[in-house]
Amino acid sequence: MIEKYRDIAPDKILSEINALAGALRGHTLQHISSTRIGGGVAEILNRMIPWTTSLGIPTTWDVIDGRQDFFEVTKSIHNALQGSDVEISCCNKEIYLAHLAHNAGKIEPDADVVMVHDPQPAFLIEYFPHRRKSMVWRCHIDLSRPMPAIWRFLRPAINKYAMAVFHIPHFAQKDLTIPKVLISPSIDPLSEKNRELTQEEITRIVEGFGIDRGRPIIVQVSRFDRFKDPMGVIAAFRQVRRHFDCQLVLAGGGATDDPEGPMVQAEVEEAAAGDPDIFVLFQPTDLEVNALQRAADIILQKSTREGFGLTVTEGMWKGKPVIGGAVGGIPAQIIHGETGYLVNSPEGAAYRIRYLLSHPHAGSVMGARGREHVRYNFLITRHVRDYLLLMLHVMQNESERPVFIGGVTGKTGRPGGGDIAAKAGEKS
Amino acid sequence: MNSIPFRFLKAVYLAEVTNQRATSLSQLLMEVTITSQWSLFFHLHQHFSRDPHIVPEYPNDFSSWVHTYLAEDAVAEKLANLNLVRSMDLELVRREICTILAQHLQEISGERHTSSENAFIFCKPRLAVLDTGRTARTLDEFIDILREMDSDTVAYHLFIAPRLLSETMMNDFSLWFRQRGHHRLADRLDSFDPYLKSLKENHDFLLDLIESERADPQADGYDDRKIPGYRS
Repeated sequence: MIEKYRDIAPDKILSEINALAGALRGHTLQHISSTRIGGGVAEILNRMIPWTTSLGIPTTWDVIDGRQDFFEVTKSIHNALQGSDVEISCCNKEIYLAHLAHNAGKIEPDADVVMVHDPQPAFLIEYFPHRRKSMVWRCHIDLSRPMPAIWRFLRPAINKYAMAVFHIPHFAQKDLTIPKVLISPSIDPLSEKNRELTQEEITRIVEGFGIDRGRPIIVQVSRFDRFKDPMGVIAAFRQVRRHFDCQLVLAGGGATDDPEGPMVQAEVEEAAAGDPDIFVLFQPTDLEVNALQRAADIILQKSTREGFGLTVTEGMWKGKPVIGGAVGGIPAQIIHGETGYLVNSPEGAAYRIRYLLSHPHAGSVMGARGREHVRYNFLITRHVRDYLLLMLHVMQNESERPVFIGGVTGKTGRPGGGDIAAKAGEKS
Repeated sequence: MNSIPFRFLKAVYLAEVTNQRATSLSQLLMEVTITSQWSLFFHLHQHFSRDPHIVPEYPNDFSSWVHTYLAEDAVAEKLANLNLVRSMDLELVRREICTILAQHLQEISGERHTSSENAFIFCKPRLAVLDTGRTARTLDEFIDILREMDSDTVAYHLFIAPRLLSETMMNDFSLWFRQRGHHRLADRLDSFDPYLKSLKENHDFLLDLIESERADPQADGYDDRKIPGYRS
């Protein structure tokens, strides 16, 4: 597997994966989630499991089962944890707990490290008190503003895990008493959405939509969701259009669990109606998204609220300057003025677009820096390395001391042989 | 003089989120006062490994946050100008940060706050130290291996080991150069400020420094070729 990523991912990360895997070879990893198909977690695990298996770490994946009423409850819990004003009745909590009790009789968390993904299976830990030191809760959602009642319900179970893992610091709830570590999401450079394309492929796909590659193209790929501020993007574009002959592409789909999606899309289509330079594309394929991002001169993600914002990552990977809203995980990705710009208003976005269109070389330099930033921080290879590191820390089961790998000890770590482990314990 | 080998190590880490948060300068002052040395280290150095090729406009998390979220640019500039190269002891750095913040707070009547979504959240590294499997006994071997190493090895020996894992308070390279009698080389490295450069630039600088020292017939130390077992 490592060989497929040679010349794409940084050598240093591939060598770190090798070193960490060497220390973990023969140990086992188990994932527990709520679905094998569809959604971000399933997509990540479908890519991660071949990786860890190929590194000599036998990896299994268990999926909880349940009736439709169970998944309706877990969807409500999921939305409430992300801040939606949803109440979970006692009856619904009973449905949730009964299904997890049923699943606890079928799933045995018996690997050296067990990663339980998202809130759906979180209560499983209640049934395995003897396994708690090896179980980690991996949170993939925005937990920065949970509804207090549902968080009070879930928190005691989460606090029984050995550790919890979040995307960004703001998602890590302060009242969790267990160690909370960060692992950013990632993109796979070999996936259909991110693989290299020829200019012929890009032109064929983009021109198929009627877009002119001879004029500047500004692209925002995101769901039709008010938090992605598509109307703000159109407002910014109209300000830019007074000065530059350019085109705007708004491409995305609607989430099945978002009843507002069709309404927002209709508003966007109405706002764009009659303007031949605004292209509203509904549910493009991964390959089409790839081509649109590669054809773009500037990528936008002008969100007013955001989880992590992997479309920012995708845009930077394609070597484009990215203008993003200064919210959620976007500031963790865009280095303002270096790899793109953070903005807070349509006017801010318009100004940065105008600047980049009049300084194309500066945009190219930013794009190249952004690609390097992603190469080191947001490719799947860094994600694999972090999962291996997590395994080591969970297995060491000591919060403060560094893990020493490859024959390094406190006595041999420095020239002259200082006792590094002793000091590490004191200072942390 | 015995030949003490230099063992090339590197470190990788996960960031652990602490419960310390700040939304204003006074809160930042309070939290910096009590946070762990590991947390201080994390926020002063994480940009090196995150972006080995970039020197950020504000070179540590404290200055960057004060600039971005509090728009207190005079304070941000002072925090960017921390004297890290002269203060290997993190307690001295802590004192310097606290002095900057406290002096500013004394001079103003009201202070700015940012929202909880933009709070400064203190993190600390959970380290794993890796052996690269490479050991140098001579300066020739040292430079050959250093050329092959990635920049994180430089970060480990220049920043992590001396600041977090050792009582010596001297970077591993200078320590080894001195142990081998290369005092001028160690002095030149010690007088250099690695905080003004990216990690990649520091790596290149170190290689250039050793090359220039090796090429200079006036350099002190001794001839590696006189050491038993030297490979020509």
